Amino acid sequence: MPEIYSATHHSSKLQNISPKKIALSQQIMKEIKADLSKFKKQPSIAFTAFPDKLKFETQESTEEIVILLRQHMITNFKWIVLVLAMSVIPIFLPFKNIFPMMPVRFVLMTNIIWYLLILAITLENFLSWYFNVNIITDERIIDVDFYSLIYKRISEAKIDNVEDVSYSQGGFLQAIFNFGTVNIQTAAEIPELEFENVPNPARIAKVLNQLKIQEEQEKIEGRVR
Amino acid sequence: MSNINQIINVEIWQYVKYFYLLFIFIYVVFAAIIIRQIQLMVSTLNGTLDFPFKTISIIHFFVALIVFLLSIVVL
Repeated sequence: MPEIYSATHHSSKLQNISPKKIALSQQIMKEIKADLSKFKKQPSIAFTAFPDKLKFETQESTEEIVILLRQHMITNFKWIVLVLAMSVIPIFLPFKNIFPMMPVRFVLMTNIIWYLLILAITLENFLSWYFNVNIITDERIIDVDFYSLIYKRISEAKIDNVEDVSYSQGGFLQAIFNFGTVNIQTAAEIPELEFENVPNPARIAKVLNQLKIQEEQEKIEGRVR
Repeated sequence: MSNINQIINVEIWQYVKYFYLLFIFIYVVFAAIIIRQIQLMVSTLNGTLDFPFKTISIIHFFVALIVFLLSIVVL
């Protein structure tokens, strides 16, 4: 019987939320905003904090994007070098010299086809980099992947379900340009989310932990959305 | 002998022509898929660059179409 009394007493406590406790979860959000203010003032395409003019498909009206992530710009280096090398090949090594028997009209079309191929490689790689994003909102973590031309996969987990956040940085380039992979273990349907080659992995891990604490605080305050 | 070589040469370029036409036709289809892909991507994540992306994809499609028509005329 005493448990029943104490339980009633406890719930009445929750209903009378003190203004000080409400302020605590908001205080954590303010801290996150202050931490990320540097990234808001100097946004990079790969790491955008609190983007203003950005929405995603399943975004709730009250949901706010905290960080939008793409793979670090340097990950594009390989295909950019390939495209540049391919672009200059016909200048230094004309097709007419490689195939002397080729009629002029075929040389012209081979050049055009060659540059169309370069355009296709550029478009596909750029679009794949630009639209494969990781989104951290105040409620969820979302991983958007476009695998092929028209196949997409969106994985998400609620911040409440985040169990463990770890990150790894290895190799010369990752150390120099400060990017790495963030692994997020969850209790959701998808057990692990991976943010590959994202800039500032340590900062991301910190923000995720802060958001988790903020979400727990919201639960205590009874302000769960 | 030289006549035979000439005939073989003409035959080869005829096959190359069909191969080129097929390749460029596939490229036109690819350009059309790119338009659809950008529509899908933009609906998933819409920001400030939606309009430029859509415009580029449409221009790209028309460039591919012009190249296809050009190849029919030139080859």
